[in-house]
Formats: sequence, C-alpha cells, structure tokens
Amino acid sequence: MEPKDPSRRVDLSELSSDLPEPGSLSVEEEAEQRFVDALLGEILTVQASRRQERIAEIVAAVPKRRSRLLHHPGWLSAAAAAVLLALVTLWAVAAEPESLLAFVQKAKAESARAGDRRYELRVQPALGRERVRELYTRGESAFVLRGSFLWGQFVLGRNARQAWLVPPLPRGPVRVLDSPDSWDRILEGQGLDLVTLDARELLQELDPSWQLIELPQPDSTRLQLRADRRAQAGELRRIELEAEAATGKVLRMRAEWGDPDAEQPRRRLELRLVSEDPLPANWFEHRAHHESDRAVWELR
Amino acid sequence: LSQSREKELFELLIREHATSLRVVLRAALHDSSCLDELFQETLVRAWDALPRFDRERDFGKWLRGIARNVLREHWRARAATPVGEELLEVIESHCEDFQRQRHDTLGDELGRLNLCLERLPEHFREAVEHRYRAGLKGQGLAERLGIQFENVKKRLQRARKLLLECMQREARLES
Repeated sequence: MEPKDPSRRVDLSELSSDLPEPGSLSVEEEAEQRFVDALLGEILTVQASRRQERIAEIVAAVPKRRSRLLHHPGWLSAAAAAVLLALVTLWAVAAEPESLLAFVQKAKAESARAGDRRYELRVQPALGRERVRELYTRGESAFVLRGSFLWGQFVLGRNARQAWLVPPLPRGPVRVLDSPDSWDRILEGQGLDLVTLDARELLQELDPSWQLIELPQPDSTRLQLRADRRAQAGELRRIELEAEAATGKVLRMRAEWGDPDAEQPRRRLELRLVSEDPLPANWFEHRAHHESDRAVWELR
Repeated sequence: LSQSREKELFELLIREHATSLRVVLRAALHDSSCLDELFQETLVRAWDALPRFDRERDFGKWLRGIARNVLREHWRARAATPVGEELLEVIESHCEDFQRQRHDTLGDELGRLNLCLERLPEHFREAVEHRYRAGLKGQGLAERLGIQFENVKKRLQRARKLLLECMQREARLES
C-alpha cells in the first residue's frame, strides 16, 4: 500500500517493519499501533528484565552537571606523553634509592623520545563505568584521543600547529583551533566529559611525601614501581609503573585518586602501551579522522 | 539536598517513569537500535535540568518532553523523517493514561498485559508471543505462523488494537 503522502521518505527499516505503513492509518490509529508495539517491545521482551539494571547503570554514569564541568577545564584530558613525563618527574624528585632514581631518569628520557606510540587508556571516573579509549602520541606533544560518548565516537587531537575535535556526528562540524596550547577550548559547549587526567594537576603534586617502592618483578626484562602517599580525599594517592628494565620504556602506568582509607579508588586511570608501529604521516591531522566532505569550523 | 541524595531521588523517579519514557522513544523511532542512546541522553539532560524542574508539574510528562526534544535533534542530525507532532501528542496521551495506572513494578506491568494477552484469541496471542517474546520478525515470523507477511502485519495490527482496548477496559475497572 502506498503512503498517503508520497513525498514522505520511507526508511528501509520501515519497509521490513510489521507496523502499518506510515500514512496508511489515521493519526490516532497509527499512534495506537506504535504505542502498543513499543509497550510490548519494552515489557514483553527479554530485554525488559535487564532494564532496571540498565537504569541504575545510566543513573550512576550521569556525569557531574555539565555547566559545572565546563568551568573546570583542569578535569580535561592531557596527552599521554605529558602525563608520563609528569609522572617520572614526580618520581625524580623523591628521595629514593639511587638505582630506582636512575631508572626513573631513564624512563623519563625514553618517554620524551620521538616516535609513534599507541596506548589503551582506561578511565574509571568517580561516577559511572570504566571508559576505554585509544590514545596515540608522536613525540612529546602530538596526540590523538579516540573514544565514544553518549552521541557516538569523538576524536580529539593536537599537533604542532592545531588543536582539533571531530565530534560525534550529531554534534556537527569538525572544530579546529590554530592554537594548540589551548586545545581544551575546542571542547567548550560539546558536553564531552573527558574526565581523565591533567598533567598540570600532577605537576602540582611534587612533594617528598611519596614513598617509592620496587614491586616483585614479573620477569627479568621488566621493572615495576609503585609510589604511594597518604592523600586527602580526592587527591592522587597511588601511581604504578611497569617499564622495560633495559630501556626504561613505560609499558603500563596506573594512577589512582581517592580517600586514603577507602579500599577502592575514587578515580583511576590506566595507560597500556599497545604498539609502537609507525602511524600514517597525517595521523595527527584532523582530516585523517573524518569524511572529506564533513564541514570544518575554524575557531578564533 | 546533597548531590548523592538528589541522585537517589532522581533514580527513584526515573525507575517510576522509565517504561513510559522508553515507550515514547521506541514508538517514535523507526529503528530501535539507537533507543538506549537516546534514553541515556534524555536522562543526562533531565539530570542537568533538574534544578529548574517545577515540582508542581508532572515529572513523567516533563521527562517525556525532554525526550521529544532529544528525538527532534536526533532526526535533524540524521536528516531523517521525523514522526509528526500530532502523532507524538496521541502517543503522549496514551502514556499519560498508562502512567496514571500506577505500575509500581515490572511485575505489575506484566500482570495486566498478560491478563489481556490471555484473553486474546489464540491466533492473535500466538502472533504476539512469537513477535515480541521470541523476537521473531519479517519472513521468519511469517514462516513460523505459516502465513504471508502481509497477513502477519494485519494479524499483529488487530492484536495490538485488542490489547489496547483490553488494557483500557481493565484500567477503567480498577479505577
């Protein structure tokens, strides 16, 4: 049966639907059909039994109110290389056995080495579920962070000339800023809750209250270190690092924030080195991450 | 209220109104694959807007109003054909009726629906069970029922109408 309004575009999904064709019934009848179909779909299917759990998950994951978040850019994420450098700097100032200190210096030099790296980044915010993102770095300052949020996948990047954001499709054009040092500006108004880690926050943590210890080694090729301190609520309380013993290359890093007496951290971030394969030359340009015909806004 | 207490109350309200909220979203979408995404987006916006919620108003209606804005943006972003406002209004009125029946638990909701399902003639009930409980669709459903797909659509259409009439009748009796 043809829809009454032939100008109306019909989706493929509608053609295979067992609902009446749009326009083939009166508005009231079509609404009745859609309502009961939706009600049955919600209540009668197996998914319905999982709905209560799902609600709890979503409510738990509701972020702090966005307007507050936007006033705290310090919560926004930073490049992995900068994070690693901040961490090794932190350890370098601690009065610790000479061998460990030397190793930390080695790790610091290795982290600054030019080259491409791909990390898996796991972020456990104070509220909600763990989020897994991909982080790519080139040298000390270029990075690409890929992840998904409520509306789809986003890609955030920085290179020597620009900072940019490819927002999830419903959020419109690509944002580009010719001022890479103020890259967090391009997130304004996006509602992206990138609760990860700001290197500046770590740099402020430099004090001798940290205790650096060497953990039992998994094998002779790797070294594991841990730094602990008695933190105030919400402060960084533990950092763990796993690195190649020979080169100082950081393989895994974990940072925890939280109340000193709580068993579970309030926030946690973990970086794991996945690959050092060379990335395409243009990987840190926004055009490598979206369709060529997508609109681009240059911000001032 | 502390934020944690506020969140607890918010969760209670959401649980109470989740079915009607999801029904509005599901009824308006051509493709339910983005249902969870839009449900989540509605909750996030509701949480953001909660300080501005007028407590004299109906929370469920307010929540579904937010969902309709989310839907409009969703259609605009995908250049998809929106469901008409008039149709959304009628769905909203069904939701309001449904909400008034005070379903405290999923069991309550299932109870009335099952009662009406049992009263359906056998061939209608069979079509509904296979379509929704077993999740069969399209040609698979037609083969299971042993009829043409066009006849499946007609059978389901009739079954939905009978179910709605039955649920409305039961609600009137209860009230």
